[in-house]
Amino acid sequence: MKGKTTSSNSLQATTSDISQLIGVSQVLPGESESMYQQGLVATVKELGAETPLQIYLAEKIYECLWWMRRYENQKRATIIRNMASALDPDNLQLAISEIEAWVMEVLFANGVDDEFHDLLKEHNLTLDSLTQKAFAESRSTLENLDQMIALKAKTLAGFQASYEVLVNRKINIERMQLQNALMQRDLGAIENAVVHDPANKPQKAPSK
Amino acid sequence: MTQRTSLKKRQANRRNALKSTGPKSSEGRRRSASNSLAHSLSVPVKFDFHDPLITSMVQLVAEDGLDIRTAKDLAVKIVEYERNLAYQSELFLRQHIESASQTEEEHGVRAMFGTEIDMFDDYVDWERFNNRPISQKDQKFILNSKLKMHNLWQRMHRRSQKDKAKQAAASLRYLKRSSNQLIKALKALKALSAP
Repeated sequence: MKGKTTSSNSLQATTSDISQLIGVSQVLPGESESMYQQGLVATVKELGAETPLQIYLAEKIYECLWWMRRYENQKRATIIRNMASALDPDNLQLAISEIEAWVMEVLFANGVDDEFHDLLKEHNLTLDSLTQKAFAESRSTLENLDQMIALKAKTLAGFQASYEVLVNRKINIERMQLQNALMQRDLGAIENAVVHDPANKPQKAPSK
Repeated sequence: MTQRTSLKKRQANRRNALKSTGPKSSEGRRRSASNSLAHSLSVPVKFDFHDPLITSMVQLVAEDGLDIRTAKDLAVKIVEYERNLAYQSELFLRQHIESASQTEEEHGVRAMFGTEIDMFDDYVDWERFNNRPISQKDQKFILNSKLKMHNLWQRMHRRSQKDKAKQAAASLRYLKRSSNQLIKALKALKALSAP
């Protein structure tokens, strides 16, 4: 019990202070809060985020991944919903019928049994042809979700680059300062060379 | 490979753009005036820097060795991004998770055709009360009418879903813009020197 409390405290501590100030929950109803927190802790730890802005960015990086997973789940759910609709074509209402609910339960649990195969035979379908039919039906939704995944992937890449900039900022500043010092030294060397070069000394006029 | 627009084409585009002066009719003007209020995402965030919550946020951002001006700028962009993201979550919930349920459809149909449904039900009850059988013609008529009502509701529901999809596409543009601005502002930190 004590261990659990400690672990939940450490999870809370990982949520960025900036996000806590804004107070937006990223977990939607039906999603696992603990799973989200575990992934977030792992990401923050792996990236080695320390400052509030770094932790916030690490959180955003993980959030993009979470959204991508959410869209993937939605894609699966859309296909399964259309598979269920194909097996109950008499249901003209938007609401889910009993057969559809049973089909969806079986498909979500990956538990295709003889009873399911019998239902497929009734509609002159195989599992492959049913999947194909569902894909054809849900093409526009899947395309839409794929576009959203692509957008999240792009945002993720942007946040990763930003995180690197933020972490390497101090190193970059030191590097720039060193480069400046090097340039100053080089310029100084040129100046010295100009002043002390014997070839640049004014030549005396011949006495004769 | 992106092709550069030719000078001639650019000049033609500019000439054409001058012709477009927005809506002319009062109805069109009224409609376009409320465009930004559809989801309020185009309205910039009003930031009160004297608000203790905002001040502490700016301080948190500034902990990375940023000057106050840059920290304020970043804080505004973070809030903009979070606002857009929250709206996306709300839309996602509305679009994908909350599907139309049986009761929602029943309520919707009743809201639209309550009087007609009551009339049919009263007729059936009255005939039953008088021990008179309902003719097949009447039965068919009632069934067909109810089916038509449900179809109409479903059509309207689909239309509203379409409107929501349109709104989602618009909000996506704002999310893209806010995320790009935040990323750009963060990447610009590379060029800034230490305070």
